[in-house]
Amino acid sequence: MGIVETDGLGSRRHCWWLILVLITIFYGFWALPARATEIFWGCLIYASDVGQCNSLPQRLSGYDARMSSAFGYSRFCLMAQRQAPLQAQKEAGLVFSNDLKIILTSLTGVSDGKYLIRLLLVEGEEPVMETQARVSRDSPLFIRGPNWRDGQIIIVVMVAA
Amino acid sequence: MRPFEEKLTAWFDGKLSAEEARSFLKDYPSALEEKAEFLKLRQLLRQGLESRVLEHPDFFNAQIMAQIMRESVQRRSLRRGWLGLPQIAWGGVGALSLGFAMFVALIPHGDLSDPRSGYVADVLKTKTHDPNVKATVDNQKNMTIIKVEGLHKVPPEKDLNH
Repeated sequence: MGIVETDGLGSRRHCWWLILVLITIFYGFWALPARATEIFWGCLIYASDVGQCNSLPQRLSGYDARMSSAFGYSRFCLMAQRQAPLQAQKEAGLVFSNDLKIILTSLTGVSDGKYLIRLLLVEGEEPVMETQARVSRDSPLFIRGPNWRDGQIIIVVMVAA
Repeated sequence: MRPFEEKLTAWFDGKLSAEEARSFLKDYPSALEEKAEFLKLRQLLRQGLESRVLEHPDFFNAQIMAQIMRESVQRRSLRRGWLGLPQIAWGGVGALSLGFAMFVALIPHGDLSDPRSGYVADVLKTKTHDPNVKATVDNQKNMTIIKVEGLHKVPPEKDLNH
């Protein structure tokens, strides 16, 4: 009888471990899609003092005042926004107005949920600028671009959810 | 119990007075037949329920005691295995630890009142391909700007909306 009891308790202990492992796996799989659905997002903004529209994309809500102060313009008009899925070992490019491109040439996950990214700004067919940055998700990086009409073009990129 | 049944029972048991018994039988003559059937049934029951003497009473008692012991041990081991207080306490501690670990691992932290408090955009290196183009980095609070100067002005007629 003693042997049977010991076996029973042992198998119950295994059951506890199994339950813990299953819970961990369940939550692990639950968390995975959150990372898998990240995208490379960017937009083109026309900053001026005379523009008629004044609209920022939802992802930049709350940046109006800071942008005014940083760029010296009062009106910001969203001209275009693009996004590309992030795939391991693959470049992700956003093309604006046919000849202005921003290419994410590499993305590496680093500690604490941050990313190490390499960006290439291309004008026409010519690479203009290359940069390496450490970013967190949903943190926009602003690039003050060329002049246009009475204002300036601003490119904003981010790794977004 | 209805009055008739009460009276019938009392009559069976001989608790009615002679006057009451007479009156009862007058009202319910079928009671005599019922009494006869009842007596017959009682006789049969007494015959069938006679106590039997066990052939091996010690063995029978030992079997019953063994069965009782087995059941109580099973109940105790079940209580010890799954429902014992230490197991429940350890289970609770484990569940809390797991929940806390998952909270730390999966929930983003930071000042919840400011959605931009987790802003990180550190430019580590910039390089321009055209010597006439310069790139400088302006780090502001929750805002990092790369200022690219020397780019060709975009023609005003160019449509940037697509």
